Formats: sequence, C-alpha cells, structure tokens
Amino acid sequence: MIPNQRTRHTLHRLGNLTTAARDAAWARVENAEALKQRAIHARDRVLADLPANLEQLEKAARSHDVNVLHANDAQDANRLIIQTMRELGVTDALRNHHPLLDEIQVDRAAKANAIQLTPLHPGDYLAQLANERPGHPIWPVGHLTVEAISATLQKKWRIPETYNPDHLASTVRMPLRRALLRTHTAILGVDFASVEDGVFVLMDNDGHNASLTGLARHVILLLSIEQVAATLNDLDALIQVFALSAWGRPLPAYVTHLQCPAPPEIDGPRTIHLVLVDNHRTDIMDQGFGRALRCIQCGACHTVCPVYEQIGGGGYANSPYTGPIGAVISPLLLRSDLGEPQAYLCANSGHCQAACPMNIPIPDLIHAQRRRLAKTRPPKEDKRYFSIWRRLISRPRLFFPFIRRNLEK
Amino acid sequence: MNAQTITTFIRNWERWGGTWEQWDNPISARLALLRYLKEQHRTEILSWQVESLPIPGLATALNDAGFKLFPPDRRILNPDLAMGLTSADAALAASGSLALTPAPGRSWLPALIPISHITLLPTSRIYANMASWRQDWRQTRPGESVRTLIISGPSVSDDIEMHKHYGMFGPRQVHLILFHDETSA
Ligand code: SF4
Repeated sequence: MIPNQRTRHTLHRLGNLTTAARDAAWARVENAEALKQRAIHARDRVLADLPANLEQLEKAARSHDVNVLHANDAQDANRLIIQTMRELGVTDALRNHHPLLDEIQVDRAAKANAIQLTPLHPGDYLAQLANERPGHPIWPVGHLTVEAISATLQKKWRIPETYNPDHLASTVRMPLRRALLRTHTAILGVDFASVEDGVFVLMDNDGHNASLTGLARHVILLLSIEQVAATLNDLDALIQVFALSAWGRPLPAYVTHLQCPAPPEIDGPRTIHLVLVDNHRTDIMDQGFGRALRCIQCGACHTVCPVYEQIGGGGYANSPYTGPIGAVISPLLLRSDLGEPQAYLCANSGHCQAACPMNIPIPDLIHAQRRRLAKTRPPKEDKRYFSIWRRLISRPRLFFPFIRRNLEK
Repeated sequence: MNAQTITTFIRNWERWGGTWEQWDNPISARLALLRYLKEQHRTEILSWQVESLPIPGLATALNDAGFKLFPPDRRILNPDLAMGLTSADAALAASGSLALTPAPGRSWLPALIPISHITLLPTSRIYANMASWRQDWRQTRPGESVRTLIISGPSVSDDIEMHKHYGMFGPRQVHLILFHDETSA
C-alpha cells in the first residue's frame, strides 16, 4: 500500500523521534566508537570463518540437549518447524517478533498446515489485524496512524471509538496476555547466539520474548546463520549496539539468555529445537556482499532514509528487509523479479551509512548490487533505465512523486 | 560493595523509571516491604518461595499482616495478578539492571507477569557490570548452565505512533527495596 500524506507525516515523525533518541543515547556512551568497533569486530570475526563457527555452535548446543536442525532455504525451515510441531503433537503456537520469521513466511506455512500461529508482539498482531505487512524491523506498524489502528479495532472487535494510544494498547494487550498465559509451544526468532557456550539471546522492551521463554514448554528457535558471536562478551557488545541504535536506550528492558532445556522444577522450556537457517546467506557472501551480513537489523538506516520516509515499508518488495539494507539483500534473498526493484529505491543521500552502527558501506553495496543486476539485464533496457534514473535523482521534486506513482501501478 | 558502585546502580536504575528505597539492615527492609504492600492495597502476591527471599522472618511477618504469597504455578496464573515479589542474583551498576537466574522456588514469572514488581536486594549483590558478575558466577557456580534474565526497567511498548505504553506484558512499575546485609563492606 502506498502511503498517503498523513501516513508520510507519521513516517516522518517516526524518523525524527527515533533519530533523536538514538543520537541522544549514543552521545551518553563513553567511548562510543570503541563499542561500535567491538561489535563490528565481533561480527567480522565469526563471518571470517562461518562454517567452523557454526560447527562449534552446533556442538555446544547438542552438548546442552538442544535438537539442532539445518534449513537451506525458507521452505526447508518451514518444513522442519511443521514436522517438529507434529512430533510434539501441537496445533497452535505463539511466535515472537523477528524478521527471520517474516523472511521464511512462517505464518503462511502454518496456515497451510492447519496450525494456528499467533504473533505475540503487539505491532505484529496489529499488522495482522489490519492486513498490513510489517513495515519496519522494530516498529512493524510504525507507519499506521492512531486513527487507522482505531478503525481496525473498531471494525474487528467493535470497540468504542477511541484515539487514545493507551486505550488502544490496553485493548490489544488483553487477548495477547490471555494467549501468553496459555502458551505451550513458541516459535522464536533468536537475536544472537554465542558459539563458545551455545547461548541464545532474545531481546525486547515489552517482555514478550522473556515471558514466552519462561512459560512455553517447547520452543523452536530460528537462527539466521550470521547472527552469531564467538563469546558472551562479544554478545554483550552486539546487544548494547543494537539497543542504542534500535531503541535509543543503553540496554533492552529484557535480555533473555537461554542455553539448555529446563528441568521440571524451574522455568523454561522442557525441549529446545534449533533451526539454523541459511536461506541464501552463503550466496550473499559468495557474491561479494558479505559485509551486508554485519547487519544486526536495528532499523537505524530505515528511519534516516529519505526514500523510506516517502514510501514506507509497504513500498518495498514483499521482503521483511526494507529500507536501505533491504535494497542490498532483498535482491539476493528474493526471486530476482521481486527483489530487483528494491536496488533502485535509493536517492544516494548517504544518510544510511552515517547512521549504521556496524559501519556497513550501504551506498557502495547498493551500487554493486545494481551493477550485478545490470549484467543480467538486456543492455538496451538498462541504458534507458539508467538515463531516466540519472535525470530523476537530481530532482527530488520529480523523484519522489515518480517513485510513488510507479509503485502505485 | 563500595558506596560509589551502589550510587551508580541507583542512578541508572532511576533512569529506567524504577523507584527505590534504601535501608540499613534486613529488618528495616522487611518493615518497608509491609508498608509498601499496604500502600498498594494488595494482599495477594505472586512470589518466590519465601525461603529464597533474602530477609529473615518474612513468612511470619507477611502472614501476620494478612498477605498471601502464591507460587508462580501455571494453573493459578491469571492476567489480573497485580503484585510480584522476588530478589535477584545480581544487580549490575553500569546499566542499572537486575539479573535473575531461575532455580527451584525462584521463578522468573513474578518479575514478568504482574503489573508491579518488587525486588528485595542486598547491597552485597551489586556488581560493577555484567563482566564482573559473569566472572564471579563462573568461579562460584562452575559448569552451571546459562539461563539468565536481565531486566532493565519496566515493560514498555511504543508500537502505536511511538507512544510509550507501560506494562504491555511485564510490570509497569518496578520498585526496589535495597538494604545492607552482613556481607556488605
Ligand atoms: S544496515 Fe546498519 S543501520 Fe541498517 S539495520 Fe543493519 S545494522 Fe542497522
């Protein structure tokens, strides 16, 4: 869906508020540059030899009674999830908020297999009710206005008209809390894992991950293969950098560390199943875009991007990876006809690179992506495409209406 | 624990919106807890096993004052439970956080489910930061598996137009009763 003026205003406000919070939080960090370098080093260190690190993680996880499974692609991942649920004899589960779950389209797979999968995160839940795709890695409905959310809840649940965000949040909270307290099985996207100890980390501010980990009897963890760090100390740096850049706070309200199933007398899942998801990440590295895998999905590059501000997450292809980093990785993750247009959703502002705490050279990677795509396109079409692009890019008054009009088609 | 570390912890705890009070000994902390619970008009409390709480004589004191402690049994969890009572394995001064590792009688749930969470914290459990606690943990509990919840402030969601809504899943209020214990410096 293409944003109207009110939604663009909401996106603009989201950008201003998150940027201000992020800048203020980073400004309070003593030696911020050193912290960023620690996080970058932590990530580069494992990416330098990912297969060996994954092997070590697998060994550590197995030694803690975690059932480790491997998924080459999204289909594989969904098959393993469904198979595990069947083995557990369950037909419903709760899921957390995580882009990997959207990437593999686990909701669709669950529905096709008669499994009721409920998103516990209020943003994801609202997106589902409103029939919208999550538009931002941190704020899935950051583009929706209070009026739009109120209208959705009035229509779905016949609640009285209210534009009070607290009332709306409380309305959503009730069914989610009830579902949480009944939970038996959870499907959880993992934020990071430590190779050395086989520890899995989940972060949030509302407590949905922490509560799910405490209450679910069985958890199916999904980890994208690059989200690993060598040690717990390396993980600490990644957690801090994520919290600062995503939420503008020094730490998330809840950080849950999970290593092994819990015995009956204490909180925690009785069984843990881990699905390690590749889904083209190896291709991303092989094709020279490995630096994009430094991404920790903090969403900072989204809210500073002038194109994202105009078109929101809904303007990108059907990928959970929107915004500038989506322009780099979606063409590699999705079918080329779906992902390719994303590589051209860039106005060359360079704001993304400045905002990225992992120092990913996003503009360079976008250009490299375009060059790669150009090689696969007939030269004539390519020339025409670039000449239109060159003329538009220097004229913002034409550029944004052009993008909006074309996306509306 | 040196005074500077305690001050740093309290400053960072306040930054998250946590409230606190500090007492010289566990007995005063016990009286403070009774007063706080009375002020909140709550008589039913989801709690750690009373033996796991770091204040002596708490079971009798709470019972005499008419308070009822519930273990966090899934069968009795209900969304309206208002008050949770725990201690913590550690408090981390650098971030103003609490670290909880579940054990028998020491569930995470009283810190996660109720609307309000009270923590009884001896000052001897305050560490400078995560790394120093982890080092101590590895020495004192070698080989123990890692199952930790780090809590920094109340539960907050800002999904609706960035408006901060407190108490989405976890508590909207976090109150700390800090006290000096025998092992404190
Ligand atoms: S590319 Fe950088 S700024 Fe963008 S989401 Fe990834 S880590 Fe955050």
